[in-house]
Order: sequence, then structure tokens, then C-alpha cells
Amino acid sequence: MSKMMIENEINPTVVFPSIKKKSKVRHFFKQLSKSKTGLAGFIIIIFLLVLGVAGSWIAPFDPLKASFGDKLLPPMTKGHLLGTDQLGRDILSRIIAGTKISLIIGITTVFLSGLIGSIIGIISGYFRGWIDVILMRIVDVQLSFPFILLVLVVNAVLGAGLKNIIISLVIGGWVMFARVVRSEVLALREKEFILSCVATGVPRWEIIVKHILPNLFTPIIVLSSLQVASFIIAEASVSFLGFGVQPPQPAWGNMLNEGKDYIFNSWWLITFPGLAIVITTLGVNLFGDWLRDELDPEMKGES
Amino acid sequence: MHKKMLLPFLMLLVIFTTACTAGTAGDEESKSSGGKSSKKNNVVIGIEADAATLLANTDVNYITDVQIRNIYDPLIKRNPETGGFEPALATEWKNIDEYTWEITLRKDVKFQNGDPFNAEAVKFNIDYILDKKNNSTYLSRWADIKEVKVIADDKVQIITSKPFPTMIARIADDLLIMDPGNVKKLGLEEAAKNPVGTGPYKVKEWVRDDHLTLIANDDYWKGKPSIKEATFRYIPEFSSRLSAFLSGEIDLFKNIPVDSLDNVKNNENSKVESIGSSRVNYLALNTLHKGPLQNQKVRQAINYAVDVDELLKTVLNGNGTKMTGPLSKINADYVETKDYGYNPDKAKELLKEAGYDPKDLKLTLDTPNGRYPMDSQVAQAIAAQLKRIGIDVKVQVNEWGNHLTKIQQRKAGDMFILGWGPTFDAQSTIQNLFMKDAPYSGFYDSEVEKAIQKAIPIFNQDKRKQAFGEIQQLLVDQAAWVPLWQQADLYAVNKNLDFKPKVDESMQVFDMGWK
Amino acid sequence: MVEFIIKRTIQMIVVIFLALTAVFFLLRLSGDPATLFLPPDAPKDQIAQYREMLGFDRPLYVQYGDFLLKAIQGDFGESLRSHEDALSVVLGRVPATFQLAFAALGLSILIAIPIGILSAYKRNTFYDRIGVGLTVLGQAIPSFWLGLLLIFFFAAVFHLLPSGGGGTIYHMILPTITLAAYSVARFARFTRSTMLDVLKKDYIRTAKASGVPMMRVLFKYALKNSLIPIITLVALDLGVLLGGAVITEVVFSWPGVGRLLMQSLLNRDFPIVLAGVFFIAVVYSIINFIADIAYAYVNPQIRVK
Repeated sequence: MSKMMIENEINPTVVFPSIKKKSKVRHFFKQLSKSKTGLAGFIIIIFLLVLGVAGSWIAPFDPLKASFGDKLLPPMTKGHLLGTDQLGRDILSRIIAGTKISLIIGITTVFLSGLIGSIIGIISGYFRGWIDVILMRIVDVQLSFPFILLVLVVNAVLGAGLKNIIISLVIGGWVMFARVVRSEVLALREKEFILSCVATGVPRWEIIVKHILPNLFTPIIVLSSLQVASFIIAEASVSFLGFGVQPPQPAWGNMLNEGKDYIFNSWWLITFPGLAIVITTLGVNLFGDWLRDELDPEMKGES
Repeated sequence: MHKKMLLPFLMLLVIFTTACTAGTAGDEESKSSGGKSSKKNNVVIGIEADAATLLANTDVNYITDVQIRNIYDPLIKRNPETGGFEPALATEWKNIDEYTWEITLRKDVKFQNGDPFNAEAVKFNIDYILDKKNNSTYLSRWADIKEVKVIADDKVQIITSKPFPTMIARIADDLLIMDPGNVKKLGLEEAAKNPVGTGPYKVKEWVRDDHLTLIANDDYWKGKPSIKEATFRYIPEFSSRLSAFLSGEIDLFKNIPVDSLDNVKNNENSKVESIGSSRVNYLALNTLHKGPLQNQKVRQAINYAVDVDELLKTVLNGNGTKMTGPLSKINADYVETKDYGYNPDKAKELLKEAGYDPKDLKLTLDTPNGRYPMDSQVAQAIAAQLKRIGIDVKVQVNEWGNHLTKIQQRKAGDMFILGWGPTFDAQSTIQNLFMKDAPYSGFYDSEVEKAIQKAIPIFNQDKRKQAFGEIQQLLVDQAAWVPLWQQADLYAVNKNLDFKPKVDESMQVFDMGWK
Repeated sequence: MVEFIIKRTIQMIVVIFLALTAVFFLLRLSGDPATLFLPPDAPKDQIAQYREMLGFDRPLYVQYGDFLLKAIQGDFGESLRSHEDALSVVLGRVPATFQLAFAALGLSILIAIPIGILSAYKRNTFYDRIGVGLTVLGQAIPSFWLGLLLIFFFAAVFHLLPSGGGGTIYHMILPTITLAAYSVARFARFTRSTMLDVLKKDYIRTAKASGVPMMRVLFKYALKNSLIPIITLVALDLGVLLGGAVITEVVFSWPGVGRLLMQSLLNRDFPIVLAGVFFIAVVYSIINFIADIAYAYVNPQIRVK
């Protein structure tokens, strides 16, 4: 941690040296190609993004179309590569459609909780005083619960649906960002270059935006890469338990919920959506690991 | 810190905890040995949840009722096939006038602790329900009772404040007889865990949220039970129940999802028993929600557009009995009505007459998930059927608590799926589902409301049946519902267990036996 | 140090108090238990009477005050379903959850640490790659899916183990494995990286150079010094374990606090949910507290915060 701080003093913009933009991108890909796992993760993520955006054109069947005569067909029958579910809907198409939802959830929740958490963390860390005390008590309250339980309770109150599960996850997730950002800000504000800004009368907002914010970039990205996977799994878990995203909207979590009663005769209902979750999480984690190693070699090896 | 000690300590901890579990409750359960006939003396029944209490007459809840009906007897019971009334602890019953019922009790019956069963006991149990302090959820059903008189040791009179035509149904479905002496001695809280009834089984052990074990009452007035011990095991997840059944850990459970029937049938140690239940499932066409369905023609059109036969065949695999009106065929007040049938062209025609183009219609359908057989799947199938004539239906799947709250607060959509039962008479269905103030009603029409209010107090059985028959026809004309079906109760039974399903859904171990 | 403990204890109490408040109001917003506990044919006046009996007709702040007063004395009311004392019901389920959590913890430590050590020692060889691969995979698999797969293979296909419920040691095997999986991955990775750091240290090289046998170097020196950070992680993860227990208990119908909480949430059995929340908040706070102390012990700089 400390070594990174020293680096920041010398060079406030962390990741890429301030040379032309084109070589930043080239640098990124050059580094990426050196790591087999990072590259694999990146490819998976790109693949998912493509599915999410273009899914409705790629999918062989309509994910919402029920066909009662064709229910519970095993994989590789009648053109259904992964089989059909209990209403005769094509599972592959539903998994592809579910990609969009998982991506939306993963990206939105990380973005929103990152945003909210960071703002609160900055306010708390920079201005201190009673507002810091109050905000941190709230953080402690939330942290006195297992994350999944918190998301469940909030979701039970709000009701089912995509919007509400995002809200529930953000409510559960902002605390991590707030805490990390706050501790970074606490450390930063004691640094010489900040103190000298204060001494020379630079307005507070300028200090925050121009000097503190850029140094938060790395820890926020690091934390985000850790959290995306948690959010995706949390949403799947909540949907699996019967809350969250409801059928007929295809989401991997509720597909697993609907499929769990069919373990005994139609194993494909739970196998493939589960695999989708695993591959997604794997991709995100692999890429995230590489990203973390790139941004701070000192942190290599931490989970 | 003695770091060297940590690893061995942790290993000991693991061993310790696992050893502890081996001693937890339920050791007498057969370990998954795919066991066979060493079970001639006991039966294990898998059930979704724990009983709320072991006191009778307190909690209106099927799960509680099915278990305690082995400990207590009713005065009157229902015939397992027809649902008609038969003697149990009562031998005769009649009404002396519109306000008085007289019941003759069986002689020489004793409670499991030796106390005599008599009229005082009956009075005690009915007074228990009526006493507000006991918070019995049966109270509203018995509210019209003014007092219970003990006429003789074996005769009791029930006096009502208003004519109470469905008294006998209430006695058969709700009333079980607890021993007053036991309740008075232990107090309600203890008696709730240590019940005493006249029934064929006594409580041996009750581990909450795990299992209830009963042992035979050899002095039972009907004779010695053939199965010595019975256990109800609580397994909330269906797949766990199925797995426990297939491996022989449990011998019987109710409610096999229709798509898993083959798993049970194909297993060499099991069989499926089924019976048409008195519970009905239906699609309510919600006139309490502002929208196109407030128009009778639109409701009739929906009836023409939904193919119930197809739903029954493809979603439920044929497990269910189609209904054409609000009452099922086994309902005592059932009157034959004709359903609309499947006619999508007629549907489109009616919609046009009502001034709607089906392609412009956007409706909402609320459904629970897993409460009734294939409920959310049926909802989605209905949406697909309506789409065939162009209507766009948004299916909203609700968690059960939310679903009920929505209906109660009149916030449900244009249509909703619900079930009702057990129900053997017209009043309990019609009064609760088609009147303005009934909490779960989705229908109101002033003419129908008046007719129902007139029919409820009619005492003469024939006149009553006629009045409710007319109401049924009215409801079909008004297209208040798309009636779906009578549920099929599907039981997974061990091949060697002699078990016949009953129409009142009770599981009486006394009537079971091992081959 | 004592001051630190006192400060944290007060914080803990404040936090628990706020948590209960939040959940209290959240629950009241989530719906009406009357609909779920009364029979469907209950008329409106019975519903009103029931609400009155539960005290739900009083203004919210009155209900809240009453709740707080009783909660301080350990009285969370009675379960709306079974009328038993709510806190007792929750406490009664605690042993089952703890059994599962500790068994899973023990299992993950037993498996993870050797894997981590082996990986670190044989860095970048075949063994390491397998080890790292497994850990990465382990962190990507959702626990409930793993649970379902295990049920599928061991219960449905091979009929080897029961698929749910509590009772015998056989019932405990699958849920423990499911719960432990994620932790194994995390611990193994962390052990590996900590060991790697330690192995680079001078005193290890000295030991090797002076001819100490490799095994001894590994266990006596390297492992000993890796243990502190590992233990810290374990303490932190105990909380994650408890959270994961909720899902595992539901998938396997394991009769613990997690399953109780889920059912009570679905049933709107408010007293049980509140008692459960209270219990979990207390346990979680204590765990965090211990973890913080351990962490502070390791990193004296943090204490100043």
C-alpha cells in the first residue's frame, strides 16, 4: 500500500504515463497479451458483451415463447442445443437473453455503488467531523449483516423485479466503496502535496477534484473488479431464493430456481444456467486479477 | 499464541463437531439404507412444514390439521370418497329447529389418559373456540353460536344466534376434541406440546422444525392400530422430499409436481396414488381493477380465448379435473353448468362488440409461484394463449405474501390466479370470492351480491341448493372467472404401504397398513 | 488496548441498536402478516381484530417504542405462527448453524492450507497451476449451484447421501462441502501468496543454507510466520461463512438459523425475523470485533484509527 502512495506523490496519474493516448491503448493490449489468464478473462468478457448486445439476433429461438408440446426436451433434440425447460422454451436462447440482464445488473450495480460509495467516502474522509461519524456508523450497521441477508431483507420489502434488485444490491454494496475510499482519502489528505495546496489557499473543491480524485482511481477500479463477481452471484442467489428477477424474464438465477425441482429428471435445466454464471464470474475474476496485478504489483497474490 | 498447536486443535474441532452431529435428534431414523420391510412397525411421512401447535381448534392450517387428526378425533368425519358426513365421536345429529342442533355422542370412549369422553368435553372444545382469549383463527367461522348446552352425558345441544345452515360442515371440518382435563391441568402452553385426545396415536416426541413422532394408542375405541409408530418429517424443499422418498427414508408424501410423476412411477419401490381434491384453481377476471375486464363481454371473450383443455393436458399432464363453474363436482351444492369452450373467433367477435381491438389490449396477470400446482407456468401458458388472438399479457409473478396482500388491498391486476379449498359446500366458496367486502374476492356485481345475501341464511337444504344453483349459473353468465380445474392430489407411496387418499386430504395412519 | 475494547463495545451496541431499528421499519413496510396467518375466509373484522391483537393498529412510533423496551429485556415477542418465544426459537436453531459453519471452516482450513503450501513451494510447476486453477474456479462457482449439483450426483443419481434435512452425520456431508468450497478457494490462494512472501525472506534462505531439511523449513519457519495473516483472513471470513450458510441451509433444508430466517421472512413472522436479525448482528459484530483486534495486533499503525 505504502509504496503506491509514494508513486502517487511523484506522479498523480497512476496507471498510464502521460504520453499520447494511442500508445496507452497499445500499452494496455501489449501487457494483456503477456498474461494468458488475463487475456482469457478479457476474451470472455468481450464475448459476453457481444451476447448481451446482439443476443436477440443470435439466439436460435424466442426465449419467451412457450411450446407446451415440447417441454423438457433433453439437449440436442429438435434443434434445441441445450434442451427445453418446463414450458418448452429453448434454454440456450434463454441463457443468451439472461446474459443481458446479468451484464446490466453487474455493470449498473458496480457503477452506482461505486459512485455513491465514493462520494460518501470522500465527504467522510475529507471533511471528517460529525458527518464522518454518522456516515461511518451507518456503514457499520450495514456491515453488521451478511451481505446476502441484507439484500434479501431489502428486496423482500421492495418487491420483486429488476429495478428493485439493483436497488437492493446497491444499498448493500456501497459500504465497501465508502470504506475503502475513505481510508484512502484519510491517508492522502496528510500528504505533503495536499498540505501545501491547502497552505497556498487552493479551494477545497479543486483539491478534491484535481488532486485527490485521480489517486482514487486505482483503488476504486481494484475494488470494482472484486465486487462485480459478488454482485452477479448475489443477484443469482436472491433470484434463486424466489425474490429478485422474476420469471418469465429470463435470468440465470431464476432459471435455476425453476429448474431445481427437475433435478431428478431434467438435469439440463440447472446445469447450463449454472455454467453460464461460472464462466461469467471466471472471466470477470481472471481479468480483474490481471488488472490488479497491472495496477499494483505489490498487491499481487492477495485474493 | 502457540501456533504449532493451532492446526491439530482445528482438526480436533472438526472431529468434535462432526461427532456431535451424530448424536443429534432423529437417530432412530433409518439411515439411507434404501430400507425395506424392517419397517412393518412404523411409517415415515414427509411434509412441508412443522405444525404451528399441537392444540386442536386453534390454527386454521392444513399442515397442522393433517398431523393432529391422528391425535384427536372429530365428532363427524367425511367419507373418504364422497365427502359426505359420517359418524365418528358423534353417532347422530339433527336440528330441532332453525336455531338448535342436537348431537348424540358415542358412549364408552376414553381419552388417552383415561378421562371419559362426554358432553362436557364437547362443550369445552366449542367454548374454547368462542373464547376470544384463545385467539383461535376458527372463531369467525363459529361466531354465530350462542351457547352449548349439556343435555346428558352423551347429548349436547348447540344453540345459534342466527340460523346456521352449514353447522354440520363446520363440525366435520373444524372441530376436534381435546381432553379438557389435560388442558386445565397443564395450561394451554404446555398442552400445546403435550396433547391428549381420543385418537389412535399419542405424541412420543416433537422436535420443532424437525419431526413429530407418534406412537399407537392401543386402547383406541376403534381398535388397536396396526402401525405402531408414525413420524412426520419436515422437509420444505420438494426435491429433498423426493430424494428422501426414492432412497427409502420416507414412505409417503403428498403433492408430487406433475413433471416428476414419472420419477416416482418408474421407481420399483414406489407407486402413485391420486384423488380429485376439493381444492379448485381458477383465473379471476378482476372486476375490482379498473380496466377492460369490467366489461362482461370482455370477460366472456377471455373465456372463449383460453383453452383450458390444452392447459390441463400440456401443463398439468392431465392431472386435474376440468371445472365449468365456480364449484367442483364433488361439492355438495354443485349444479351442472356449461363452460364457454374454446373459440378464439368468438372471442375476437365479442371483443369487437365491446369496442376493443385485441391487438391493442394490454392486460396484467398476477400469479403466485409454487403455491398451486404449476401456477406460474399456467399463468404464462394463458398469456401465450391470449397472445394467439393478439392480446398482450404481462405476467407478474409474486411471492406468496405479496400476492395475497395485493389481492386484499385491491391492487392486483386485470386477472389473477388463485386457489380455494378445501371446500365442500357452496357458501364457503361463493361468499368469500364473489362479494364486495370479502378480502380475496375479485368480483362484484350488485345483482349477484343481492342473490348471495339472500341465499346464505336459507335453512331448508333443498331451497338452499336451488338458490346457490341459480347463483352458479349467474356467475358463469357473468364470466366472473375462467374456471380452471379441481386439483389432483398426487401422493408418492411406498409400494408396500396400503394407503388410499381421502378427499378431505387427511393422512390417517390408522387407516394405513403394511402389506 | 483496553480503551480500544471499550470504544469498540460501545460502537457495537450502537450498531446493533440501529440495525434493529432499520429492520423493524423495513419489516413493517414489507407487508401484513395478518393475510398469511389467518385463513383465507377470514372476514374483514377478524383481520382487523387480529391486527389489533398484535398491536399493529397503534401508531408506528408507539409500536417501535414498545418493541425497543421489550427487546432490551430480551423479549422479542412470540412467533406469529407457533406462539413460542421468538428469541428462544432463534437460539434453538443456533447450534445447527454453528455446527455447519465450524465444520465447513475446519474442512476448508484442512484442505486449503496444504494446497496453499504446496502451491507456494512448487511455484509455477504443474502442481501450482492445478492448485491455482482450482482456487480460481472455486471462487467462480455460486454455492447454491454447487449444492444443487452435489444433490444431483450424490442423491439423485447415486442415492448415496440424503439430499436434505438434518439429523445424522450423512445429512451434514453435502452442506458442509458446499459451504466450504468458496472458503477453500480463498484460503488456499491467500495461504499461497502469504507463503510466497514469507519464503522470500532472509531467514528462510539462512535456514536453507544452514542445511535445515526442507520439510522443517516449510512447517517450522514458513508456516508459523504465515499463520497470523491467515488467521486474520479466517476470522474475517467467518462472517462470509455465516452469510453463505443462509443459502446452503435453504438448498439442503438444514434446520439452522439461516433457513429459519428465510422462512420467517417469507411468512412475515416479524418477531422471529427481528430476533434473528438481532442475533446475527451480535454475532457478526463480535466476529468483526475479534478480527479487528487481530488485525490491529498485526498492524500497530491501524490502532490509531
